Amino acid sequence: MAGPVVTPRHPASSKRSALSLPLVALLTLLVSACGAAGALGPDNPAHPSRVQGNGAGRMALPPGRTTLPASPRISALPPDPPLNAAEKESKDLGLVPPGQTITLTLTLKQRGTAQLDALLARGERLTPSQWAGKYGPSSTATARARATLARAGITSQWSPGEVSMAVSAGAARIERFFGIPVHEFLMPDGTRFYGPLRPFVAPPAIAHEVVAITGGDDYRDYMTAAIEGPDGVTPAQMTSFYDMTPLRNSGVNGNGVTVMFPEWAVPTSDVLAAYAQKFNLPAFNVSVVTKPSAWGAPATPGSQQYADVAGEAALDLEVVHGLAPGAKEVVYEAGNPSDLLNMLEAMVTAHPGAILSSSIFVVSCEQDQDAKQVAMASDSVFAQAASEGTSVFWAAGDRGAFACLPDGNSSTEETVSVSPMGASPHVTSVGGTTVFLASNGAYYKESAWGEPIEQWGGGGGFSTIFQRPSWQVGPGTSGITGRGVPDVAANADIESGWDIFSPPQSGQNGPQEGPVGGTSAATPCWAAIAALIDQYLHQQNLKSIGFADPALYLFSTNPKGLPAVPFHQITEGSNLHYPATAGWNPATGLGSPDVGHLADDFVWYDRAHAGSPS
Amino acid sequence: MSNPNFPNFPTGAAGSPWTSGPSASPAPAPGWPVPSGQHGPGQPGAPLPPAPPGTAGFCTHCGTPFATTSGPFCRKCGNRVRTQAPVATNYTYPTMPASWVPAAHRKLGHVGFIFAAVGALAVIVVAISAAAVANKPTTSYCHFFCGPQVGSRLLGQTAYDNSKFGYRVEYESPPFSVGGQNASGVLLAANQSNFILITAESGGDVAGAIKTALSDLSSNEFQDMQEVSSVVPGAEIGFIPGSGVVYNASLVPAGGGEAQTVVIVCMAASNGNMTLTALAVAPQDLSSVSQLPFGFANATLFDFEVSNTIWPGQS
Repeated sequence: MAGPVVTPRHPASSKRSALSLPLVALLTLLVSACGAAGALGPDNPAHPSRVQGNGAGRMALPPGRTTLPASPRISALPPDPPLNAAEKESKDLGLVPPGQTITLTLTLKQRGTAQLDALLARGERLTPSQWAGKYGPSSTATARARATLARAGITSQWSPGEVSMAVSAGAARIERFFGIPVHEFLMPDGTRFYGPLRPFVAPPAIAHEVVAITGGDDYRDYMTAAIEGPDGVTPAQMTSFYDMTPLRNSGVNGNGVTVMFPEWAVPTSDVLAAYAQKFNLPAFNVSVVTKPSAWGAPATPGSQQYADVAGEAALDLEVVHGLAPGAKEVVYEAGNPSDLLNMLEAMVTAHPGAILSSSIFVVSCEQDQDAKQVAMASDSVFAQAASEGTSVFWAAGDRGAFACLPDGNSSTEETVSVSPMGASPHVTSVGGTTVFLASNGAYYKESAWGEPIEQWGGGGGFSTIFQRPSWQVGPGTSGITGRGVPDVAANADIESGWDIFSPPQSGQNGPQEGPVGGTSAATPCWAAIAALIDQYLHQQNLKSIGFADPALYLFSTNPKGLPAVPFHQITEGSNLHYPATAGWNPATGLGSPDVGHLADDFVWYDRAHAGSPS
Repeated sequence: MSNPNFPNFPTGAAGSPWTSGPSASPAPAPGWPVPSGQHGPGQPGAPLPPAPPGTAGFCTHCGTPFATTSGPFCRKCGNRVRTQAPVATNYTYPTMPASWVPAAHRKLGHVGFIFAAVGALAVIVVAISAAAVANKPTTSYCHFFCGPQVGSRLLGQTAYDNSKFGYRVEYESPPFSVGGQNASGVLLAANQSNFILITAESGGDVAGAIKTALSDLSSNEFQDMQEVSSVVPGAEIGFIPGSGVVYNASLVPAGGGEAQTVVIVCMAASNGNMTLTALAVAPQDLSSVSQLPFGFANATLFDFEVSNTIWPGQS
């Protein structure tokens, strides 16, 4: 995109305002000042809080601050490119040893997907056994595929009802059966990893039973969606802002509800304790589930990426605890991104009816090489979760409508795209807003989160992998064909970021307090809201929210009898491409919540769908 | 199909007894002219006489009563009234007495018609309002407090107000402070290579404003300017969509010193008869993907000023 040298680029414009000339002079002075031995003046603590333009063209040197606060950052740095890009940038060391065990995950074809979606659209649910018996992968077909794999010397693990099947064997057997070589690579920074030269595809012998293949590498490209900045809002402010106060005042705090998070690491207890102490909250109630043999060893304190990925977990845990301090929090830790989907299935299976909140990714955008495989595999897990009444909230991403930007690939960075895992029609996709508080601490307004200079903003757009689900209806949805995301939004802008305690970065000691933004913050906010409402529903012997989208879109149509309008419509700003408009839009979805209203609406919805298992 | 209230009248488009005939075309409203050769019910000159003794029925076309001794055709309009022998049935249709007809068959006076129309309109409005009130969300159904608790905007602690154009720029201090100002705008600077210049001008020439802002940069200090991007996705000022461009340049201190590569993002937006321009300068930082695509260091600090610019009349 570089252009010719343009010095001086533009001749003086005849339209130039004469009044601008003093500012030109000011700029000259400003630039001149930097030549004078760091010659900016001392700080000016008496800087006036209001400056009135007096039209006099008064000029002054800026008060001299020679440093700025640390740059906002994404948690998951350094910038790891996607697997295929990393392989190109690395030295190819050749085939991995033939006996080295390679593990893949095969996502199996489900049955009756159309009927299942119709069931979900009606707000109905299944028990795990109902799911396994009618909609999960066929036992007969899976047995046939397993026999084929066994004849090739490949072992497999599968139980009825599971949507994925782990297969493993020595590298030579994997390469022979799938026809894809697995090589070892050396990155410029000295990191070694192995991975397939091309994406795995199912050979004809099992192709009929398999919809996606993931794994087969140990490359770690941690992706999260948290950013850090210089200010922050408190849990109390957000409780008031999103109208959670009535629920909290009635004693509802998320008690009896489980919120689970897939993470790459967990923060140390002192970080969480500092947060609880600062905001006068009860102690955290966190369980951690690890299975290094299956999901990889998570990052540990002291490792290169620990602070970043544990910071993401701290954000998730603290946002939920700050808003729903009674909720039980369960962290599942994965160390290997290629095993994330296996871990997600384990989470869904172990906690049917719970709430799952995630802000981590395996691939950035639908243009990535493995995007479709990951999308199909994760959607299978999410469909099972939805059918069993599990609420899944997934971050829409932080690069506005340009989800490929984190890949650092110039060929796709200007492409409008969405994050494939968050685009699953069976999750509630969460986008971002900028919050403007009222002077009394209540709601003033929100805009779509979009920062044009930084090029960050709430993810959103249209999937090219998934079709629009039947329940995505209502104002603003007519004419769309691909799955539109996000579904909802909440505070994500670093400018109005959440006050969070994070693990120390290198060179720091102890928990670090500061504001954090990103849809990584908006997503646990929605999970906490779901926890509060679930408890409120349980108190009335009603079923939990479960898969929220069919109800949320129904609410957006303002049906007869709906107790109250549950969304703040956001009509200002954009996500760098799509403007926020009335009704559903790809910048902020249906909007942000008025939780008091939303709780009443779910009571109304549940009573209209009474009789389904909870 | 037949109208259950008037079995001898085919149901029209609106089920109205005023429609008749196989085509069920709407009959003219009372008082409207009828095409020549037709006589609608209640038309001037076509009043129906009271049913005389010995009346066997009414012509289905014009409503004229006919007697048992009448021929097969209506004496008034010539419509065939007896094409079939009477069908034996145990059910007898109620005879339509003349007294039922007047509302339709009498001519309404203009004043009466207006009153009737106004009355009908009032009934419709009341009915729709009642339905809306009954069906829309109301506080009476809301368990929790129902009115959104909305307050006035919490304004930033540091702000620049432009008296000539009436706009306001909230800014973060520190690191920014006012480096200078004139009637059109303000320079907010953190240091010599981190600053944002916000200016206003009359009119709506966004492209011209960007061009002007860039050309105002001293070519002695901003050398080797090269376009990084001809567009700034999401360009806006104070949530008014606009346009933008991105350049990089070598910033050479006028008083001497080491040159530094900086990124220049210039955006403008027009609202009403006024255009605001924001020109931001910061060192180039391409150290991580989080700085992509422009490599503008500390960008979020500058975005704060852009999104917290408040136009005249805006809240």
